[in-house]
Amino acid sequence: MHLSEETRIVSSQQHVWCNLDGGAAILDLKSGIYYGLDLVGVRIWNLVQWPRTLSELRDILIIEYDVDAVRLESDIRDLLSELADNQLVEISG
Amino acid sequence: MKDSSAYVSTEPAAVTTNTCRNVYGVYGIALDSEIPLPLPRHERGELARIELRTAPAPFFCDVRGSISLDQRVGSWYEFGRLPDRSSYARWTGVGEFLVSSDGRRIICRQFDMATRESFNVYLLGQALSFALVKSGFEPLHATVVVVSGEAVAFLGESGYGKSSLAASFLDSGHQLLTDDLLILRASAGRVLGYPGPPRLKLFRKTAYRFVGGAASGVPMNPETEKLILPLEGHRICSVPVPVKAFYSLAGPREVFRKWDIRSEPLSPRQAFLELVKNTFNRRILDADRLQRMLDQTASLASLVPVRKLSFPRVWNQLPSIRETIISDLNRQALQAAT
Repeated sequence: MHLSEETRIVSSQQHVWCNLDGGAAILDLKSGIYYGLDLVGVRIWNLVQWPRTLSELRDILIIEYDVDAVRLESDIRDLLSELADNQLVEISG
Repeated sequence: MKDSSAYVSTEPAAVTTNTCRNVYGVYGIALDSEIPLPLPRHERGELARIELRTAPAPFFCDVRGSISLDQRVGSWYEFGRLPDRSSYARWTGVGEFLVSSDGRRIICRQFDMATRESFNVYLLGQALSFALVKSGFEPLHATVVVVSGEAVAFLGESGYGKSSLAASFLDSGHQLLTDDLLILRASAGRVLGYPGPPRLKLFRKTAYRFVGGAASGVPMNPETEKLILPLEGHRICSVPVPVKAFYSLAGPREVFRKWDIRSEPLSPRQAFLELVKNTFNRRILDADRLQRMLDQTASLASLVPVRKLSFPRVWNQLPSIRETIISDLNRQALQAAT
C-alpha cells in the first residue's frame, strides 16, 4: 500500500474498542473479530481517531519516543497497512 | 401489515392486566409478574424493575406477521427485531416473548406442550437476558457457587462441566448463587454477583450422584437429557456476594483422561477474551451495547482474577477438582493478606 506524506488516515466507524492492560482491544462490528494493540499501537490508534496525515503522525511520535526516524516511519507504515488491510482505518489522498 | 411499534409503545388490548400480581426478586432485580414464579418474593434493594405480562396467541401472531424472523438452520430458536427496537424471541415447544426497547417489560406466552419448569428456564434465562441487556446490564453465562461467603464462577460452553462442578460443591455443603446467567455490579473496587433462580440444570446421572436423586427433576426440553432440579433453601445463597474468582473450563476435547488437573492464571488479555466469550445474549449487537460490553468486560478483567481450569472428564475426579479450586482460593486469600 502506498502512503504519501499527505495521505490522510482515520479510524473506520465500524468498530468499538477499549483500553486493556496497557494496550487495547478492538472489535470489528462487521466481522465480529477482535484485534489487540500494544502500547505504541494504542498511541497511534488514539491519534487516528481524528484524520491525520502520515507526516503529522511521524512528527508527533518522533517527539514522544526515543527512536530513529527511518525506523519510526517504517513501523508506522507497517501498522497502518495492517489496520487498513483489516478495514480498521480509512485511507484517503 | 400492521405497525408493529403499536404493540409495545402503547398498552395493547391483547395483553392481560391481571390484578393478581407478585413481585419477585431475581438477579438483583424486581420482577413484577402476573404469572407465579418459583422465586423468592422481592425483599431487598433492587437494581431494576421489570414487568412480566402475558398475551394470547393472536397478539404474537400479529407481531410475527410484522417482522422478518432470523432462524439459523436446524435451530429451534427464532429471533426478530421490531422497528421500535423491541425484540421478539421464540423457542419451539416452549414459548414466545416480546421485550420492550427499554427492557422494562416482557410480554410472554407459554406454549401448551411446554412444562411450566421448562418455560421458566427460558423466561428467566434467555428471554430475561434481552430485558437485562436493554436495561444496561452485561450478564455472563456462568454457573456460580459460594465458598466462604464469596462467589466462584465457572465459565464455559454448554457441556464443559459447569453444572457438574457446581453439583460437586453443593455435595460438600457449599451453596449455589446462580446457574446460567450471572449479573454483576462493580462497586468500590469489588464486584458483587447476584443470586439467580433456586435451581440447577443437571444430567440425570450427575443429579443422582450429587444432589440426592433426580426425582424432583423435570426435563428441560426434548433435545437434552438435562433435568431442571429445584434446590432447597439451604443449598442456595439468596444475597449478593463479592466475586472471588472466575474459572474458565477447558473443553472436554482439550483434555485427555490421564492428564492432571491444572489451574493456571490468565493474563489480563486472555482473561478479557475468556470473559467476552461468555457474555450472555449475542442478538443485541448495536454499537452502543458492544461498546458497553467491551468496557465492562475490560473493567471486570482488571478487578477479578480469571484462571483456566483443565481437568479430565472422570467422575471420581470431581472432588479433587473441587479441592484444587479451594486451594487456589486459600492461596489467593493468603496473598491478599500479606
